[in-house]
Amino acid sequence: MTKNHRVEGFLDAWKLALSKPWAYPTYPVVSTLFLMQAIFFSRIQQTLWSAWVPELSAKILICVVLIVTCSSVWLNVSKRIISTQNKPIYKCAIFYISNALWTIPNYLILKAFVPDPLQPFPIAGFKLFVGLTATQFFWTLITNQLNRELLAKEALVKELVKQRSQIIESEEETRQLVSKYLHNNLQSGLVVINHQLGEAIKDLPEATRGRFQSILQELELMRKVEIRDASRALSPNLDVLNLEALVQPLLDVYKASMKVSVKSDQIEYSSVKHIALAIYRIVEQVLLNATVHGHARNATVAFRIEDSSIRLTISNDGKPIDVEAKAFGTGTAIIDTWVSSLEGEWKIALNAESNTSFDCKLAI
Amino acid sequence: MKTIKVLYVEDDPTLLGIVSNLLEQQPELQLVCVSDSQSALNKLEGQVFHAALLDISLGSDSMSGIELAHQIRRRNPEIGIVFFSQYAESARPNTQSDYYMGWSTIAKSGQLDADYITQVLLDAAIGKSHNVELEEPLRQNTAQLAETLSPKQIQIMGFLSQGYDTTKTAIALNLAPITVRAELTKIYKILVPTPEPGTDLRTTAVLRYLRSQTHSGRLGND
Repeated sequence: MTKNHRVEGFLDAWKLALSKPWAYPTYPVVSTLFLMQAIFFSRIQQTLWSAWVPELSAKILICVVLIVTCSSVWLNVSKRIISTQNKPIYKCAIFYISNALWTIPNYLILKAFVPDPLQPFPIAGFKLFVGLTATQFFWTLITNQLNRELLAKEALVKELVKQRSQIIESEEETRQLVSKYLHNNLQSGLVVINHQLGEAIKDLPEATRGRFQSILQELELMRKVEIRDASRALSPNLDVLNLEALVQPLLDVYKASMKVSVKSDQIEYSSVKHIALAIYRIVEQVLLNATVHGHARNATVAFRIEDSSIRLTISNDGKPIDVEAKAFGTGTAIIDTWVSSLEGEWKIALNAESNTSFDCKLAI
Repeated sequence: MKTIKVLYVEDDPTLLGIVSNLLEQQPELQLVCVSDSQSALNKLEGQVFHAALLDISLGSDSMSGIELAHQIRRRNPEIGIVFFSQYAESARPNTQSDYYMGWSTIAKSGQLDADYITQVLLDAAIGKSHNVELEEPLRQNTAQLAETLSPKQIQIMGFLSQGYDTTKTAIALNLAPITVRAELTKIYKILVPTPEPGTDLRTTAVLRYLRSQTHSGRLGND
């Protein structure tokens, strides 16, 4: 990380802490607790050794419980009120007023259990002021250091995600180039050569023609199946009529090991063509995971339109996934990259039949 | 004899030349050829076509043949659409709505059958559809087929692939020629289970044997 990044991170952390104090509510609450606790103990320490009775223990306990409970309630209430506001200035005002008001119930609780809690002032109060200021100072330093590191790490994660997307995009471009060469140049060229050779051997003696025909048939088989499969494996054909046709090659790949059925709403392909490659790659990875890790025998791919999104659900009858673990392998990383690049969302869960179900929503 | 007017769109100039030459010899067809989608749409202005013969992949700068077909249908809902492509199955409709009447697909192949293409175009023009089957019948795992050969059959194929005839193979393996011929009959059934008319069984079997050996990484006589 460069020096500029560090300075920027530190400044960002400060700006954030100052402009959005409600995002760091622990600081004033802890300070308040420190204050009340200090006053409380400074008051009772005089009687602690001379007049200790079980009744005093009970009072201290009740007082502590009340302060902690009220702190928690107060914090939650203020958070809720803040979340209803849109303007930062209102959020700030509510935050500071809420914290100032908090001192009143605190004082009332203390007064109810410990007579005259402010009696130790001014000497004890001064000590407290110095102590609390120091505490606040160190607390701020620690908080900002943590925030700075957090921001730096978030920036690194963003950079990593961006780079991952760029790698995948670049890889797809290369794949498409080779695939198009195989399809447009090599396959078309072979069709023409095959046809020309077929015409050329028509006048040959039957035995020789038969041999040439056999060679041409094998050449045609290689073109139609092997070169075509290679082209598709590199990059899918996106010029299709519907989503079923888009994923059909994947169904062929897994035909021997897993029966995959496709269900789809009537979706106009032109409305999803711009994300067709992402859909293909996501289905490809999910089916691969279902076969390799789940050893599934049956899978269902479903496409539905919801609002202005397409929902893709893939369930399989393989070994149920440990949803809690959600281990990220290469496949899930690829899925995550595709979904993130389209600002979509995805999850893996177990459905009602305890089958693993992948669910993904992409905006169209 | 009724003649139909066909718009043929193909971005590969060589294929465009060959196919148009073949189809122009068909008396039922009056062909108009273009190499890109925009020219195709321009041709639709002021002319009535009965069918369109379209490649699906029309280049990276152009709309696809499928998109072009939808545009053509918007201008002329009655026109027959025939896709002629290596990815023909990707244009197969998944519903039987009226929109897809006369919507057909033909797989491109080296054996260009002008009569068949003409028939599909004529049918499409009157709302009848033909669609390619999915590719599975073509797909044969040659490597797996060759694995079922016996050691003796593998030895015979090893010599045949080096250009030996039946007699020389029999001498080399110290077998009677009749035994080699009997084994060859069995080998053909394994390696060429569904021969097309005119197929030279020995040539095809040798080619498939060589491919299977390339796949499994071993070549020559074991």
